[in-house]
Amino acid sequence: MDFDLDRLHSGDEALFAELVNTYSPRLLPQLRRYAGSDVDAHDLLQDVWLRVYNKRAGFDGRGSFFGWLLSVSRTVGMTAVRKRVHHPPTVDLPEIAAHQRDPDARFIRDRLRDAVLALPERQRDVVILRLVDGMSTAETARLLQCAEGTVKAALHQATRKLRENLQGTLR
Amino acid sequence: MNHCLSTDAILTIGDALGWDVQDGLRHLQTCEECRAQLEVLRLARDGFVETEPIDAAVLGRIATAVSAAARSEQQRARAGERWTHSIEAVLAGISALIILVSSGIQVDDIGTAAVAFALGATLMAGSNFFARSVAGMAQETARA
Repeated sequence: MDFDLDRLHSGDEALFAELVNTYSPRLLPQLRRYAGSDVDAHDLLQDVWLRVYNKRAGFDGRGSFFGWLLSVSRTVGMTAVRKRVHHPPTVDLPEIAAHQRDPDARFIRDRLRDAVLALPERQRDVVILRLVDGMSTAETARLLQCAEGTVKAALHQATRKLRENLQGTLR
Repeated sequence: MNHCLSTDAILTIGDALGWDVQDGLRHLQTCEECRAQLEVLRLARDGFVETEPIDAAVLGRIATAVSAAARSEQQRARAGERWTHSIEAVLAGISALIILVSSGIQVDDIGTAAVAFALGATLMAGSNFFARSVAGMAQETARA
């Protein structure tokens, strides 16, 4: 989704409503693993958007907006997990079970998400822009203000790291 | 069920393989290393493109929370601005008094001091208002 960075920085409410509608369905699955229930996941989603609103000046437009949203989600999710360690909630077991029908696939997916988010910023942006946002090498290079060779090298290094991370998990 | 690729996908594959399509695909079929890389990238992509439908009520609640945050931010900003203007006006009033005294004018009664203070403060408030109006007009012109 393309948008005017000035509108984001000025806190344009119409733009935020549009962003919430566009990106929330993609953010919710990312937040599931930090949440104990459906209600928790929705609360986390709201916390993510409030943090995005308050920290909007931190996005400078030189990377993937979705990548930045993912970093914010991770911070919010980790904070929630840390809080829960101190205040254990009443867990709705059937609800959790519904979202963990294939624990192996979910485990690998979560592990890869973590691995992507733990990549150095440039590599993470390249992975998200090329793989998730579907940008070409040229478009990615233009957005990140670097050479196409740098994009290709970053993607190669990122893939190598992701494979290392999954060593033993994938056959 | 039709498994044919879209023309766009065919074009993308051809372009990505430098149009050595046969060689590229044969290599992918025979090279375990490349297949493993492709699998990792596929899994990583799957993890991020997954979507979940969200109730309109939940989205509405989030939009309301963001609006509330926006309003409270605007209120804080306005309160901060009011404080800044008040402090500026007080400082301007004091400066006016200092200028009068340092230029040898006798300020020996409370009335004169009050008038000098009020003049300084009014001058500062007026110039602030003028500056804001000019900035507002410049913005309107730029927008137009």
